[in-house]
Amino acid sequence: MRGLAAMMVAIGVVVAANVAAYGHDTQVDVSVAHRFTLSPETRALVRAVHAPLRIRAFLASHGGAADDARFLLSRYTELNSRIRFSVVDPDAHPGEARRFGITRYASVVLTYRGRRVDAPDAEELEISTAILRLLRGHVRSVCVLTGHGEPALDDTAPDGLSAVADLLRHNAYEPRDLDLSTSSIVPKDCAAVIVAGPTDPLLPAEVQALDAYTKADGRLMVLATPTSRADPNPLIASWGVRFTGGLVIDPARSENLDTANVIVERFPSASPVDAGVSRLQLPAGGGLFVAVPPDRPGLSVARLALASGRSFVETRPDTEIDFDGLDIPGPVLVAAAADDSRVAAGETGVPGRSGARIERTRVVVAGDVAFVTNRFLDHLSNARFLLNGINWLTEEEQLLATTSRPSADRPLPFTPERQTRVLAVTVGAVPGAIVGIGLVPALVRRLRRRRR
Amino acid sequence: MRQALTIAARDLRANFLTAFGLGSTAGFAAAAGVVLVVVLRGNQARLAGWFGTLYVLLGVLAALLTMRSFAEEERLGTLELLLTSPVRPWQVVTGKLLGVAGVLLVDVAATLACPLLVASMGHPDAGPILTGYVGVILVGLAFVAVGLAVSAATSNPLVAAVGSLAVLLALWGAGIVSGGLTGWPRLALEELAPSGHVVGFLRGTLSTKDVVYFVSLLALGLVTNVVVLEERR
Amino acid sequence: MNGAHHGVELEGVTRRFGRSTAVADVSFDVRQGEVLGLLGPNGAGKTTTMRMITGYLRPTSGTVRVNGADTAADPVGARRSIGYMPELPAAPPEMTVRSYLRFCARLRGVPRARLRPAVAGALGQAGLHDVGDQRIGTLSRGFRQRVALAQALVHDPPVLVLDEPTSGLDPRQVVETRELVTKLGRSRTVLLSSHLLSEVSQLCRRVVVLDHGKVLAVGDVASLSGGGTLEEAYLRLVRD
Repeated sequence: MRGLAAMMVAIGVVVAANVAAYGHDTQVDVSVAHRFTLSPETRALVRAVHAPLRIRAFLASHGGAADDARFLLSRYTELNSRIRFSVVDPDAHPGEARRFGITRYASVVLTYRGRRVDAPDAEELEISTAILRLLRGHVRSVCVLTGHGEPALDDTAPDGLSAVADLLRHNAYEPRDLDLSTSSIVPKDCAAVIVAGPTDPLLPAEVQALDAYTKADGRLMVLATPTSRADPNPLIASWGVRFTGGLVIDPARSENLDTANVIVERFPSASPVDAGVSRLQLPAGGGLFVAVPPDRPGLSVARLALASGRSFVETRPDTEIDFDGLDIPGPVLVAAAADDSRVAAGETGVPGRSGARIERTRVVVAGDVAFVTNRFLDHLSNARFLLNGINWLTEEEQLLATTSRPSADRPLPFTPERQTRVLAVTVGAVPGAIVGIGLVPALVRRLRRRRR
Repeated sequence: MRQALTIAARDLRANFLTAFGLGSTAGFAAAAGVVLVVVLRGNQARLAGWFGTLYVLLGVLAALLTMRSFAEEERLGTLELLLTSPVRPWQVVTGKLLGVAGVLLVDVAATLACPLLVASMGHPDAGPILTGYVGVILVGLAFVAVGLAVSAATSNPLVAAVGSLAVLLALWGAGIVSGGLTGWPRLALEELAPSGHVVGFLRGTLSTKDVVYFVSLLALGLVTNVVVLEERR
Repeated sequence: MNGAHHGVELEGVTRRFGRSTAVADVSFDVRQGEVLGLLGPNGAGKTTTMRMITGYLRPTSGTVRVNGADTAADPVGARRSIGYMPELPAAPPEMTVRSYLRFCARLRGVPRARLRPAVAGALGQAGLHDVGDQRIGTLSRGFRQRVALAQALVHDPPVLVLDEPTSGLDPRQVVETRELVTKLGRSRTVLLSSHLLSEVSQLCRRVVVLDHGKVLAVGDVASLSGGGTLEEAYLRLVRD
């Protein structure tokens, strides 16, 4: 009976201690990357969630990614019980994946008050950014120029842009067509304008309208095709970037011996547009070069993506594809981002206050439109790159302080030789040594007895 | 404390004088190596999966080591001499715990070859390895305490080992069952299972609630052990 | 209570295992410096009684005092005075005789400085000098019995509790053991159990006869046998 009482007391104390520890949990993180410790920004953000927020992470259940996501997402639910999460294997639950239009692993879908924002990866930065955008509530328009043979937003064919439209909708943007043939002014509520691969020339009035828009705090993305009659340079020339014309050829890094189908692996800038982008596939792209006028101190151009050192621009793609004297040697720049901040001469927008105001223009240029068509958007990091570009244009990337963290990627190519070495040490040498050392006392005893 | 240390030292030495003791240490080291090979097939210098499996193996090891502590001694008859010596039950229990803990420490030390090998081939983050081993110690001690309590309740070593595994599996199963529940019962069952408390160790984080959990399991095991020893007199 | 009593006292000791009663209302005492025999057939409750004295079992009711210490109130103090040799000569087979005795001595509080002479003394008294460095598992049954005796002596206890000390021994070992018990009885309080009348009559001045958990008789060997042999007296008691 005394034993039973002691047990009851012990259980009571232990339960109380654990409940107290659960309520006042503190966590130390000794890892280099701090991947699983939420930043103060995230903590503040999560406290502001006042309605049920559902996070669905679509991850393969094998491998460590699902466990890592579960651990990270638990940190969110600990902070706010309105947040709930599930980790779904799209292979095991294809219906659930289809319902959310998930076609690839590592997609995270967040829903809040009937809205949806996707995070491209189950990492704190992506998820917190998505939460912040959900909390902000409003949906911003992204206007896509039409009327010049561009691939269409509602076109589900391989060459269409319906996947871009879905991607934008899943990230709190509303894509809509922009027709400048009827109205010569870009609507004020366009958070960004995309010129995606026109094949026919733009009318001078349209170029003028876009130029006026861009110069007045505009946000422009130009995706050109090298094989078109439209010249995009008038749209971007003021921002220090120009198209070279011609087709990028890379004999070193290209897909299936199609040397024009270039795989890009160099992302030399620190621009947020390159964040999380490891490889791009650019089928039939054009090259760029950067020429910043010296009298433009506020203008900076980031070189976003470079083809390999053996790449070049074939200036006459309709002839034999080979590097000759007329071609431009590589490495070829295939994407760039320009940011121009300047003090405008006009009045401040605030009534009653005169003086200078800051204007900011942002332009993202890529030499290729095919890489965001339905056929290629899901290839490599193409979708991530596009979305990063839009987020950067609309300054959504600055929603959360982006502290750069060391990569979680720690490659260790496990060759057969290394496997043999590991087995030799762990299954051979170590157990052998243990048994060897263990036999010493018996041997000593035997020797002692024999001596006697 | 002197008596406890005397018991611990004897058990520790005796373990490595038996083929069973040597075999379990060598076997544990070899098993850790095999698990490492499987984990490294992911081509990443990450040991989260390795530690995760190691914690499960610790459950098996704890069951095997603790079955000797009381059940085997009772079968041999030596427990009678131990319990009729001028030693308090808590001293016996502490001594038995420290003895198995010492064995466990040697067994765990033998697995250090694995992270060293990984460090020689790649660049693992040292943080999760450190917390992984902190977890090994906490999980190991807690599981040993559970095993000792079960071992004290029976005179059959096999029953003791199977019983310890059953208790640990039941705890682990609480985490699986919790998946089908909602609200606080789900939370309570999740927190009852060790599986939910080791995930931080694998990722370089130490949180108070996890440490409190394993220390609680340890304390509860020891109290149960003392009570069982007293009740059987 | 008689605080000056340095033997063993049992007062109304009862032990039940579930529904069955192994020992019922047993009272007797072992006086300081005497060899008392606990006599009875197998299953009479001898081992249970001894286990209650050594503290391995707790009495369901009644009190046991060893060297003045109550086993319920001061179990460690009571056990400190006892050297106990269980019926089955149990010892860890993987240890050597010497290291096992050393362990027992440390466990029972022999100071570090006195460990070596204590172990040597126990080895000598039990006649184990030649096998001190052998593993216990390699010893014959007779030697293991001696190891069990040696561990009971290693901390030089004032009270010895010996459960069937000669069972399983060959005749020469039986003689040696009896001589040793006689010698030990000169300076210590000894309680030994046996189902052998001849042994008890040879070693003990007083006997307690136990059957079905009850004390049938307590007294001098001489008065119990009442002129006849102890055998006759014993059979008479057990048959009733």
